[in-house]
Amino acid sequence: VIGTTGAVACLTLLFLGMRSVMAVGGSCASGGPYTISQPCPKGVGWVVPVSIWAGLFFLAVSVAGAARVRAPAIAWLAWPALFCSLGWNFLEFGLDPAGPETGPVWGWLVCGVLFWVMGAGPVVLGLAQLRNRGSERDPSPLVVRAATLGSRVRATTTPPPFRAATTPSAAAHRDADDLVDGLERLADLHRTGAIDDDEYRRAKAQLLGGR
Amino acid sequence: MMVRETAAWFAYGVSIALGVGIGWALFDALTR
Repeated sequence: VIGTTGAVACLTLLFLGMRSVMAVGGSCASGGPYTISQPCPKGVGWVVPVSIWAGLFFLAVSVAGAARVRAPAIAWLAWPALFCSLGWNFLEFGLDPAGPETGPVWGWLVCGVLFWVMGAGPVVLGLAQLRNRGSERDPSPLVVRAATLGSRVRATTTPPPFRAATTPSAAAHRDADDLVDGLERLADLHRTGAIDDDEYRRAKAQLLGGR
Repeated sequence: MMVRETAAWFAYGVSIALGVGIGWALFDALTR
């Protein structure tokens, strides 16, 4: 809780700090022996760098804490949160810059789009991968059909196996594997000449449910 | 297990809300 709260607080500080700098034109300076044309808003000069390092520290605390109590790991969300929030600033101020400037500031808009691609890209890819994994778990109609055929074939040749501890989709996968094994064995027998063409055709038809 | 996971998500939600609130208040206080 402390780690996540701290990390989010630091990200908020960074987000607001960036906004305040962009509100004065996008760059500023403080200290040093030079004449400063645009002084930084009060406090921002140290708040921004401190919030970056403190944010990393709190993120590490959050990761360690989550691992310790075996909570779901969400620290990776810091990446899209960081890039999308700062990218938002670029887009907002790029479209409507503060001060005397008018019209879009293309440099900032490019940065904004880039930040969003970097922030949201991995999330989109991750979600796509999760969806793929989900569809692997749910067998396609073809696999289910093959599994049904396989179980029918086995019902005629072997006693029903013990299935209490398997899920329906796991059983479907196993049955499909059994069917493929059977077809391969049959093809081997045909290839080696143990069975002739006619016997092979009939056995195959029987294996695929045509009995 | 279910209770533990729900509690973890609840803690995350509270932490995020608290973090935004603290960050915002801190920024106001430090840059005023």
